[in-house]
Amino acid sequence: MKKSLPALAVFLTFALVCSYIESLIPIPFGVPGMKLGLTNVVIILLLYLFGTVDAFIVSILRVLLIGFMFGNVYSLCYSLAGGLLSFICMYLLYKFSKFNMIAVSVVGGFMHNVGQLVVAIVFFDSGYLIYYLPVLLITGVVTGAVIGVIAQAVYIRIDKFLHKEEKDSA
Amino acid sequence: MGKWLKKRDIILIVSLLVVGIIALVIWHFIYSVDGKYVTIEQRDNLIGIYPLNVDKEIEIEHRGEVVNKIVIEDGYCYMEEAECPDHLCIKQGKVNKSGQTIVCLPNRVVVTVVDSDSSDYDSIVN
Repeated sequence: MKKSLPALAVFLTFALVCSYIESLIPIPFGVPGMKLGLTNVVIILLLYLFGTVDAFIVSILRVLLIGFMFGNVYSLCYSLAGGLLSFICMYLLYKFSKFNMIAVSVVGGFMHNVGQLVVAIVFFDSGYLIYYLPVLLITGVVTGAVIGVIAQAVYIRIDKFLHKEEKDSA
Repeated sequence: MGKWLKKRDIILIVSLLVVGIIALVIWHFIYSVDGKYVTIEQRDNLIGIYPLNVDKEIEIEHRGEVVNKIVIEDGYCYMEEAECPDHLCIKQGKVNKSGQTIVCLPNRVVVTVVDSDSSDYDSIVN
């Protein structure tokens, strides 16, 4: 698959669809800011397939678009903070370490929740929100692992398909 | 396993999980004191401080509409109704430990359990 604008647009659409699906899944626990993070599947795939810049662009765009469509200014800011921190950490791990995709995704989920909570505390000017930190850390690891497994499984299939495509065109 | 997860991945994931669990244990001890009052804030404004031992219903309004209904009952405080899409604040359940909160992010309503009505009022005023 060649890196191209249409390909990026398709991935961005995937991210938006994931986000919509996610909004349909009810969360049984009353923890503010908790979610599955399905869109992160797309971001991780982009990071491994297309590289940092494209993954970053799509990551920011999806936060903005989702914020405008489903959220408000505040939810947009939480998501942006979480998304940025999570992306930076995933990028550093991906670039400078030999950790596998699942570990990268776990760190992403973990840091996403940290970033989101920090911004929520600043916005509400209420340190009391720190009450949710442990639960958010643990759920960040668990959801990150689930997302990592999904991303890895999809990546293997895409990779296979790409190799086949290369052979066919050769 | 094998190709998907190497030893260092497992170590990283488990250590992050351990950090979360340690935090959970520490938090459990920090939040073990029964609170006496709840403070209710909306968009950075203090709505009021209410004693937990007096049953009461508090309605929070925004732009002339009731957006949240908070109930104090039998020493516990909970969100009964909320005009928001996710209803996370209702799912947060009943609180009575000092430091616990109920947060409604969309309506920017924060309910906090506190030990006393004076010290916290000062800190909010400040």
